[in-house]
Amino acid sequence: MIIKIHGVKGGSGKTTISKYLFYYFRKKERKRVSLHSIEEIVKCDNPEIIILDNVNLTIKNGNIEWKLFVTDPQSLELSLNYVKKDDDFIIVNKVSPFPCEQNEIIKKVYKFRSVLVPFNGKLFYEEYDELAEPTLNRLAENLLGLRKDRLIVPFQQ
Amino acid sequence: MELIDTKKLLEGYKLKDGDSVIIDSDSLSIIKYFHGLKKINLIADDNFIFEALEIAGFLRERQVEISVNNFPPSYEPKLVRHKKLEFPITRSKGKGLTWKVSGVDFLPGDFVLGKDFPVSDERTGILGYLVNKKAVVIFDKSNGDYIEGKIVGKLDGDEEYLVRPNKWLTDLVAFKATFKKGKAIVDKKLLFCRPLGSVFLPLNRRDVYNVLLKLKIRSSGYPVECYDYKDSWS
Repeated sequence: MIIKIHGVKGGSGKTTISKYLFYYFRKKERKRVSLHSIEEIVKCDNPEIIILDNVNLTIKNGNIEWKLFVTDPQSLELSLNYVKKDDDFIIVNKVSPFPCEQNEIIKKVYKFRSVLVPFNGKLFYEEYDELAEPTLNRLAENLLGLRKDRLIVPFQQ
Repeated sequence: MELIDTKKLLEGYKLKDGDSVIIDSDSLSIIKYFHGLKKINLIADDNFIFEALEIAGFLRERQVEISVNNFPPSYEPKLVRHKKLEFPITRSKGKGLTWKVSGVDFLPGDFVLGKDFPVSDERTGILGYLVNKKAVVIFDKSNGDYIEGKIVGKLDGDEEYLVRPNKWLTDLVAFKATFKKGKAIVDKKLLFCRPLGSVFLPLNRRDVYNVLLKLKIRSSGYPVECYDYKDSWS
C-alpha cells in the first residue's frame, strides 16, 4: 500500500502526520513500513506500506492507494481550491480547542471525507510513541480498511 | 422508560437503563443508585446544576452513556496516561464527585488546594498551578438557555474562556463565557453536551494553549452530534 501525504501549505503538519502513521503501522500493526520525505528516508526490505511525505516518487509495480491532503485552519479556505477528486481525505491539522472555531471548520469540510486533528501538545513536541492522537489512529484504521468513516472529529468514542 | 425524582430513588425505586432522573436534591450521595447502569438521562433542576454536572461527569467517566436535558448522549473516552505526572501540590478533601484526578502523584508541596487555590478540586487546581491562576467558576444555577456560575477568587481581567480537563488530564473542554458582576454565564449546551463536572478555570486564549503544551494534551471539543453547522457557538 502506498500512501501519499501532500498539501499546498508549509508547516501544516504533513511530516507530523506522515511520521505518526509510520509509527502507528510499525508499532501497533507490526507492518513493514518505509517512509520517504525530503528530510529523511527510512527504508525496510519488501515494505507492506510506503508513506510518501510530500515527495513524488515513482515506485516500480506500485500505485498510490491513498492520497491525503493536509492543511491547517488558517489556510483551509485557500487550500480547498487545490483539493482534487482523487484526494481521499482532507486532513485539517492543529484544530483549535474552542468549539465555535471547530464548528466553522466542520461547516467547511463535512461534505468531503475529512479528519479534524486537534492541536495536541504531544504532536507539537513530536512525541509519537504513545500514539496519543485518537483521530490519527482512526484514520489509520480507515487506511487499513478496518473502518469506513466519512468525518473524523476530535471527540471520538 | 420512567421519569424518576430523588424522592422515588430514596423510596427504593431501582433504576433501569434508559430511565430519566430529575436531579432535584443537593445530595450527591444519590450517586449510589446509579451503580451498574449503562445508559441514563438526567434532567437538571434549575437550582441543582452543581449536583447535575457532578453526577453526569462522574458517570460519564465511568463509561455510562449520559444525556443531560435531552442533549445528545455520550460517555467520556477513556484516554488514560501512560506515564504518571508529578506535582508538588498538597491535596485536601474535595466536595465534588469529579474533583479527583487519576494518574498523578502529589508530592509534598507549598501549593495547597483549598488554601492557595480557592477550591479543593484537583483538576482545576493542577491547571491553575501550571499557569498561575487562582480563581474558579462553580456552576450552580440555570436560567432559561443559560447557566450561571459564581466566580470564586480574583480574576486577572483578561480571561475569556473556561476550561475543565477529564480525570486523566489527557483532554479538556474549553469554551467562551461572559464574565460580569462576579458571575460567569454560558450557553447550556456548552455544559450539558460534555459534562465533566461543575468547576472551571477561567483562562485567556494564550493560557489555554499553555495548558495543552505543558500537559502535552488535546482539547477535543464535543461529540459531533452536538455541533450545529447552522448555529453559531460561543
